Amino acid sequence: MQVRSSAYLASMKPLCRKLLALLLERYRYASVLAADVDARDYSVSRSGISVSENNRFGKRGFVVRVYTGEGYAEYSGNELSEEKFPEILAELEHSIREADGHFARYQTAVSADEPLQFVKSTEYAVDPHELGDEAILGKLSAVRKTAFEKKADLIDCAVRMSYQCYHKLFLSPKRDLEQNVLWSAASLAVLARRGEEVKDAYESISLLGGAELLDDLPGRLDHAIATLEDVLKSEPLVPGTYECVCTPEVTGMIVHEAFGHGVEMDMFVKDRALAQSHVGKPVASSLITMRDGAATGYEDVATYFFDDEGNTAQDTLIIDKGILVGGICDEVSAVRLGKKPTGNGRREAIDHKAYTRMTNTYFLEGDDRVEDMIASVKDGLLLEQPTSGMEDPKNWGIQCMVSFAREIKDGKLTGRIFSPIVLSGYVPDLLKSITMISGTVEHAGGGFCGKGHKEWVKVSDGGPYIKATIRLG
Amino acid sequence: MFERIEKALGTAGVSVWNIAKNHTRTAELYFIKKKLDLPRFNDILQYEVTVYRDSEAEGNKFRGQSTTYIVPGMTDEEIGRKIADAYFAAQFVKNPFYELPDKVVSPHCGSSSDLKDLPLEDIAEKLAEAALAADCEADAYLNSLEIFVHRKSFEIKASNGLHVSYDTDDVSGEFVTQCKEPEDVEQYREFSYDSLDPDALAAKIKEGLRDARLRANAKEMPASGTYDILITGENIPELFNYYAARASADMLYAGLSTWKIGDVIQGENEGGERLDLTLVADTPFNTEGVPMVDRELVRGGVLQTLFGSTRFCRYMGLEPTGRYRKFRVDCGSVPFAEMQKDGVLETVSFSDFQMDFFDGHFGGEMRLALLHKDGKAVPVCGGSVNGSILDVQGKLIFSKERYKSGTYEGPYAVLIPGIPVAGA
Repeated sequence: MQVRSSAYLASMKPLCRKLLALLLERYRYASVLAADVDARDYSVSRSGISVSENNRFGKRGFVVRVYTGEGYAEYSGNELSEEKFPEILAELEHSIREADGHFARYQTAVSADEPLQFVKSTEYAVDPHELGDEAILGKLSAVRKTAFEKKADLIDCAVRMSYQCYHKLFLSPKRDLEQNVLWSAASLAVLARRGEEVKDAYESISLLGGAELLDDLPGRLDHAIATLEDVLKSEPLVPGTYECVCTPEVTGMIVHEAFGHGVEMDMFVKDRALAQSHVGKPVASSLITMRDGAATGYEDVATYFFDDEGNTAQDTLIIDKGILVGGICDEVSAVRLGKKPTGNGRREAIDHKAYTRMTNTYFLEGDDRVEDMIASVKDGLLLEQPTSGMEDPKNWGIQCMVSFAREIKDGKLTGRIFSPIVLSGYVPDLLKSITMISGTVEHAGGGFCGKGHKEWVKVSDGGPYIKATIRLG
Repeated sequence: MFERIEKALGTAGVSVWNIAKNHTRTAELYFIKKKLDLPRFNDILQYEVTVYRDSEAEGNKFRGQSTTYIVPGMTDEEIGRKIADAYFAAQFVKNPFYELPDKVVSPHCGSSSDLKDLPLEDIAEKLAEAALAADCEADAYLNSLEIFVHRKSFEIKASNGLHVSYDTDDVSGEFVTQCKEPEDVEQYREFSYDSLDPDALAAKIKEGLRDARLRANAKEMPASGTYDILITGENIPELFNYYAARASADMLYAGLSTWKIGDVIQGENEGGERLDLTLVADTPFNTEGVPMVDRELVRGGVLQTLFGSTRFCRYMGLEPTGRYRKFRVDCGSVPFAEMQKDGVLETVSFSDFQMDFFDGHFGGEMRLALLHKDGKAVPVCGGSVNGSILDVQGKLIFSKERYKSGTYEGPYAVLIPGIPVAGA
């Protein structure tokens, strides 16, 4: 089934058109992005049961962008009426006048605004709204109950589901776009005590769709509990450089954090990305091909039809057999760099600026078998369960955290576990050290991505198993 | 809008509720080098409506809740539908019963910040002018700057007659400094203030420029090994957050912490300094309408109080206190200069310094550090720190010098002995 259009946006469209017309009387270019969002979070844990709307990423409202002749200015709000128009125009004008009176502008040409019109919707099997709160909580509670039946000494098994059904309308002089998108994500985390420490293991799933993803959650429980049992046996790792096999989740974090942020081309504009000077050059092993896009073959939580600046989603080739081909780009950065936007201009919500952001980002598959990859390691580690990472586009430093690593000796897993693990090093060194790559891509969109320490958007990432040499602490 | 929401609550049969109005206006300025990239203005008004639904089963009493958000432009029909949906959902939330916050009626509390006296755009301009003026060095410069000036107005009403309102003003932002020679590098910094302090921002910019220059001259990473490390500036709150997080009623109820008032939570004293930490109220009320006051959390390494949201405080038999986002730590007696001894690795900036509140492990990749050697501070970069607060908390040394931001006041530096570093 297709996600239906928003009745609210349909009712507001004439008003948005009127506002756009008013803006175009004053400014050479203007656009209006309007959003209506239904986002809900469910959780069942020792802390209790929770069902609430998620307002952080799910705000209803609008963003006005105008071109002042030198650059852009924006106003965002959530009260749109004809009576409010004079206030919006006055505030916008005031911001522009005050800013222009004090500071030199970063000169930017106006957007191309090539003609485009469409209405598109994603599909789903089970509407979470129709499934209902009771049924969703029932499914989460059942997983939690089973977890305690399988391992009675857990502190907790926290089970969560979120969905976001968003509707966006983009209007500019030549564009009239509407999209209706539903994604869902769920996770389970099992926790147990080891002295003063609390150790955990998690599983997460996501899809472009609805509550049908809950059917996969119970099957993840055994792996989470087995992982927790392993982590409870973990010991500190002696810092050093190791031959490593990374699971697809860890590969995904490396793809996203270590390299993906560095090809966000608003960083090129600011001279904040080392990748800019490496386009056309080798940056990774020739085994590596990398793509990003809201229109890639791998649909997930960051799949959409147009971005928050009214540009169509694409499937962008970033690394081709080890050679850096190019980056991803928002509208304004594209104008500044003389490039075409790649549909990667995204906002956390309507009250946030658009930046170049990743969507679904991944390494393509190779042709090695995972068992051969492990067998090829004389003295190394299998890295599992990524927890967080931080980008360093300027200097290509790596910081990625993973929960634990399994020791590999003479091609076999020994059963020894080390935890926690910090990956560091120089991105091209890591990517060029990749010598084996498995045949199946797995991707996941359980988390959110920040730009620096803020601006959270939903993304997915992934890839195959990779074998590389990595500095660990 | 309050009247329309209250009417809808009555129609839906909701007798216990809380409405928190939040009107936030924000002026934003984005710069690339010294040029203005984008001025933005936000005006967001919303009503967070929490409905409660009580039930009983097998002799147990439950109180469920669910929250929905009402914004301008919603029709009465839509407001009614959203509230009815939330009330329907609340019946499935079978949490143990607890009493909501006591009734408080208070006159409006205006903002206590000197920011309140100026238009938002003027504040942003003053800060930007100070930042750009500080960017006057030959070899290092401001790469980019983002300034956010927030003016928030809150009004909270509840079904028991609770009615409070207050305003807040604050600024926050981030900047990147760059130095191109001998190596092209950058340093990232965040800032937050609850008063108008362009001089503080200018000083922070200067520090950022200095650090970019140091980073440009950092040729090597430290050798792998065990170091006495210094954590400084904006990374320190993350370290101390371990104590605040584990003393929260939320974590206690979830079984993730076992702390009790009177516990020696800093472990045995192994020649370090004892922690004195105070939770600081930066708003007069929380969104439940609970009055917020400063609370001494840790004194001499001993836990003095527990805190948290009303539900978890009630479950734990505690007075509801609200959650805190700001704390103050007493400084130590050792001057920072005396901490910078030979062999000490002084961390200046990390990719992302993190503390795991579950197990006490902290760490991160170093973007810049100073290795004190033969009386000199040698800039180094790369490599990572990976330690456990449980292993070192009895040995922490706090600097005499104070660091202040919108969420933390306390020692500028903390010396932590014997931390593993993965380096060259």
